[in-house]
Amino acid sequence: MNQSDKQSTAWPLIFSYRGTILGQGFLADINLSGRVLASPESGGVWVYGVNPGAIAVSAPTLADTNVELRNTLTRLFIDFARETGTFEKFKAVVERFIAESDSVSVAEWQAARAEVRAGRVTGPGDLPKDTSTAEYFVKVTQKPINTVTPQDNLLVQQESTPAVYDLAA
Amino acid sequence: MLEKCAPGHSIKPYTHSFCIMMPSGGPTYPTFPKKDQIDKGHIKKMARHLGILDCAIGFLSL
Repeated sequence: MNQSDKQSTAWPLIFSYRGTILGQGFLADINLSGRVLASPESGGVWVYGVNPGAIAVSAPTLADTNVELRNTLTRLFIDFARETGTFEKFKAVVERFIAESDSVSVAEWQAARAEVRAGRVTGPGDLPKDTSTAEYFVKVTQKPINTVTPQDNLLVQQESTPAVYDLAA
Repeated sequence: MLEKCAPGHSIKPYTHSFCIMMPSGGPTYPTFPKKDQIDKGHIKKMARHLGILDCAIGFLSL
């Protein structure tokens, strides 16, 4: 076995995440689209990050991994907010986390997408297909206190709202 | 395993996870679970991300 070992079935997924994080004297809106590789394995489904690369979650079903992924990201962003004193530092840490990956994971995701495009792999369930060429993005914006509204509580409190998966095709 | 495969690394405890950092601005893995028992998937992903999977395999039968 080496660093290019592969799982037998892998679904290339694109997920979206949106949330508001309270930091040291700032509010930050995070809007991101990332890439993961999902793999059914014994005991459930594993989701391995591509962008961000430094994350893995597992759960009994793919839908459950969706919730776990969002919660793991939210907890991490809260930790980032604790570790950084300013919005600028927080933004830089989040952007680095999303961008950082490894070449093997990226190659596996692209190969899995090629399998989907060729019709050799079908996606799980009825996930919508995303054929865009954009691979990932992250936008971290500071929300001025005087623009905060009660509606923002929906974003701050939506920890149980899952990220949304699309099948990369 | 990290002592052998990732010399110079550092580990910072976060509230919800451990942040494992390679030296000299190398890759960072900030989501390693804080649990007594860690599934292989987490270890394998961390090792791959840090670029030490081939070394880690020898230690952990991944």
